[in-house]
Formats: sequence, C-alpha cells, structure tokens
Amino acid sequence: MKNRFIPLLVILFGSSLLFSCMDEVNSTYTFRTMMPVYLEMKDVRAKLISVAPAQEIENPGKIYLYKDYLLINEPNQGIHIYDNKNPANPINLSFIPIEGNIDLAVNSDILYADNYVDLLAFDLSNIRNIRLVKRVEDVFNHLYQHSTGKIITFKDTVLTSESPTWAFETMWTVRPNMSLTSNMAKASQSYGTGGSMARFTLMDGHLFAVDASTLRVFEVLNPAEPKFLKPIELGWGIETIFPFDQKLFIGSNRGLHIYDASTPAAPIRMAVYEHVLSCDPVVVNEEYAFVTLRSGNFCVNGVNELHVLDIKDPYQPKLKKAYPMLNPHGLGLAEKYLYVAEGKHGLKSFNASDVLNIDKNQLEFIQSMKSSDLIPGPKSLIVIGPDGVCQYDYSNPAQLKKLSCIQVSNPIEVS
Amino acid sequence: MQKKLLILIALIFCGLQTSLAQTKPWMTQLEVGLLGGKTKNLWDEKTNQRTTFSFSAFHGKEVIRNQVVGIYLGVDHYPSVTLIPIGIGWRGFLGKKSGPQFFGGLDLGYGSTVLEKVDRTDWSSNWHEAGVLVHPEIGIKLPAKRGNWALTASVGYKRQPTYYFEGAHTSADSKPKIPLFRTRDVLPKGFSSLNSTSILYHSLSVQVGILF
Repeated sequence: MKNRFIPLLVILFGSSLLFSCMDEVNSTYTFRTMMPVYLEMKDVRAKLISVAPAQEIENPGKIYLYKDYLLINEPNQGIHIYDNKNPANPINLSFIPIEGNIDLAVNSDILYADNYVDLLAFDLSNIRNIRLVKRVEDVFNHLYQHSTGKIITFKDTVLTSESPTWAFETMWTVRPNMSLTSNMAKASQSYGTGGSMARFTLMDGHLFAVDASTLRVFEVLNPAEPKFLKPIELGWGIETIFPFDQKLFIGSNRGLHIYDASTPAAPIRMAVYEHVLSCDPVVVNEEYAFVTLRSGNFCVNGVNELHVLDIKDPYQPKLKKAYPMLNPHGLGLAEKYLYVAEGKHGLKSFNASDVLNIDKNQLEFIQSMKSSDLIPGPKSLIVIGPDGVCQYDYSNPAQLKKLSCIQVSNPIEVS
Repeated sequence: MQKKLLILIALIFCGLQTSLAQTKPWMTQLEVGLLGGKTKNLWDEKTNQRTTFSFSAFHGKEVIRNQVVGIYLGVDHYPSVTLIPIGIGWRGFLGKKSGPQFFGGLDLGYGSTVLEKVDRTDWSSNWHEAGVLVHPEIGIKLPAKRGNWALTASVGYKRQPTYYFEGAHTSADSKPKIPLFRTRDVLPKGFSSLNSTSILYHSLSVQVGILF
C-alpha cells in the first residue's frame, strides 16, 4: 500500500513545483483634489432657478441670519432657508439651487447671491414664494478664463490613479478645506448678519463683495435693483470683510486693511496693519479690532494668536496686545463678550471689556464644542462645527446651553 | 512582533493540549511548511522568487465518516507582511483509517494583520490589511505503527490578498482613524491622499505535519 502512494506523492510534488504562481501586484493613488470645471455662462444663465423643497444639508458653507430666517449656503450648490423663530427647533423650509454660489447677504427682503460671475437678487418678502428679481451679469469676472471666454471653477473631487506622479502634473492639488472662515458682519436694521468668509457685506445702501484680490462695490439703494459700481484692487490674500461705523475692515492673510467707506461708492484705504502670513478673521467695536491668527491650511506660519488692535485712530492701527490661542478660527463679538471658535479644541467665551486682560477674563472653555465659525445672533449663538450648525443660548456667556443642531451629512472637518 | 508570535504559538498549543484530552472523533492537524511563488517589482518589472514560512493548526470534528470540519489558525509569513490566518477548514479522507490515506483539505479564512504595527506620524499613517484567504490542498496521511497519530504531507495552493496603505493626513493634528477594513479607491475621512499597494499572493504550499 505504502509503495503505491510514494510515487504518486513524488509526481504530485514535482508537478506542483513546476507550477508557476505569479503574484499580482498593483498600486493605486487616491487623492482629494480640486478639478477644474469649465462652463459657458450662457448655459448657466439659461437654466431656470426655481425654489426647491427643503433638502438635507450636506456640507454647510456660509451662514447668514436675517430676521427669523437662517440661511445656510451649500458651497456651489445653493442656499437652504430655515425658519429660525425658535432656535431650539429650526424648520427647514426650502432650498434655492444656485450653481457656483459661495456667498450671500440680505437687504430689506432682497437676498443677494453670487452665481459664478453674476450677482442675483431674490425677493424674500414672501418666504413661501421666493422669486429671482434681478441678475447683474459679469461682475465677478475673475472667474473667467480669458483665453476661452469660459468660466473656470473647481470641484472637490476624489480621484484614483495608477500612478502617484501624474496627478501633480495635471491637477490642481489644492485642498478643498483651504477655504477660510470669516466672521459675522454686524449690520444695521435692514441688513442681516453674515457669517463664514463674509465676503459679502452690506453698509449704507451698498453691497461690498470681496474675492481673493478685489473689492467690488454695488449700489443697492433700491434693494431689488443692485447696480455694479466699480472694482477696487486690494492685493492678494483677501479673506474677510467686516463693516463697522462707515469703515470696512478687510482681513487678508498678510494683515488687516481699513477702508473709509463714508462715501460708500468709493472706499478709500486708511491703513494696513501687517502681520505674519496667517489666516485672520476680524471683528470690531468702536475702539478695538479683534483679529485671530491661526496656523493650518494655507496659513502656514504656525501662529495661533488673538491680536487686539487699537483703532481709535483708524489711520494708525496699533497692536495693543497679543494673546496665545490654541487654533482660533472664527470669532464673534456681542457687546462686551467675545466668542472664539478654537477649531477642534472647542469654543471659548471671554469678557473683553478689559482688552489688556482678556486671557484673565475667560468665562468658559467648552472643549467638547468643536467649532470653526460662529455668529452671535439676537436669539442664539450660531456655531458651525463637526456636529453641523448648532445654536446655543448665550444669555449667560459663562454658561452656554445647546438649543439645537442641524445635522449635516458631510460635516465640516475641524482641524 | 516576535513576542506576539510566541504568545500565539503558545496559545495554539494550549488549545491542542485540550483537544488531546478529548475523545474521538475530534481531530487536530499541525502543519509546517513553505509558501513559494513569484513576485514582480512594481518599479522595474523584475521577477523574484519567494519562499517563506507557514505554520497552521486545524482542529475539527468528524461530522460524517472521514469528513472533518473545524477551525483553522496559523501564521503565514510573506515578504511584505506576516499574517495570522483564521477561519474554518475541512478535511476529507479516502481509504481505511488503519492504513495510509489520501486526503483533501480546504481552508477559508481571513488574514489578520494583528502582528503588524501601524506607523503613525503627525502627517501620515501607514498600515497593512489583508483579505480572504483560500487554501485547497491535497496530501497523504501515513499512520504511525504505534499510537493514535499520523504523519501528513500535503501540497496546495494558497490565495491571499494583502494591502499596504500609506495615507497623508488632511492636517497635522487631525489624527484620523485607521479604517477597520480595506478601503481601496475610497479616501477615508481625515486623509488627503492614500497610496495603496495590493499584492495578491498566489502561493504553492508544501507542508508536513502531524495529525492526532
């Protein structure tokens, strides 16, 4: 019996050894990038914009508070409208689909929103029947790619290639999360309160819009008839705009620009406060400007500080004091209280009445409340963070109470 | 890693000791051997021969005559990774138990990468994963003249996918979670890029063992 099996076994071994087992080796490179998308504006304009039923928020961009309504931008998609009468229970009303929309502002029931290179005006007087009332064409023309006459936009895309190298040769390897948060725009009665990036703001019958390098001025004395007046070059790296007392405080990644807007149609530069390369949303009161500088994304200098600038003489802003922070993003000022979104570290509230001792007057530091931007609204403190768009009762700044959170399907990554 | 390996082998033997105390129809098979194959460099397409070590333990119960079903645990070393395959197995025997028998086997399982370390820095994470292994084999069982044990020799084919991921974090302090299972072509949350190298090992297995 044994003798029968041994030759069989030998044959089996031998043939098996001759059998060639070649491994399959593959390599892929998956990366997040901004893919250029080329569009003809005539095609964009040809599409009818009709208000759609309420939709779930995927990825919130700018937030804007107007009367009892909370408007939340979905970058490049449109604007969600929420009834925020009760901040403990905001009701999702509708969605305005607007391609290429990044920013918004509301003036006397007229919503201004960008639609790639155009500015749109919507009538919000009947919130159940929002209508497009005006399109101002070709105002944000930095999006035009002049060689082709098409507009160039970027789409956040995840790509997979077989080789890690080709991507860098052909793609825009810009991180989608480089977008910079900014701040609320304190407003007069008929204007709303703006948030994140605040590249649109309203003051004295004028709409001011900034892109990376240019301030564009629109006259909106007749709210439904915005008129483009002129562009003003500011220099590269513009991030935020904050209006206060006939002045525009424009945050760039190199410093703070102060413009005299007493003649709103023709703002004049008063001063530039320069600092290290850093991201810097800004809020202002009568005497001081509060600027946060943070590291991360394009803000590469590793500085995480709150700067308090004395702006009593707006032609000569002076650094009053710098406070170390953890990773400050957006900030908001409500009377004497200052709220700072500290990214993944949480949310801080301060009594800022003594600007030389803000650090000693920290009222609360809620580490569980990760946040990137905030708006101190009349009824609630609205905070954007990984949990979505959350609202807090801040009647006692030393003890914030969570009222509600609007869940989002693709939450902001807070670094 | 070696410490973990020793602990694992000790555990396997402890399990076997328990099984020895049991009465038939339980069966245990311990096998050691080599895994052989050819692999190709990604960068220069050069083919290399590989021969690595393999150890496995099968512990099962005779469900019907000459058909044993049980669990399977082992250690498979490959050039890029050392895996702990764990799964289920089958052994089927031909012929009388008193004499030499042919047998066929099939092991199905998952290649665990618990022995491999995850390399993490502020900016990157590198880690291994593996997939489902399939291991059919045929062999011969030669019973001992005395005692209730036998020698075995087998050849088989082992298919084992493995993956190596090199991920770049979105930011220095994001410390994203390492996904539990293979995430090829998908970018896990907190990563800005992911370089994925997959190697599907087609191996010839040649093993000897004891069975009791």
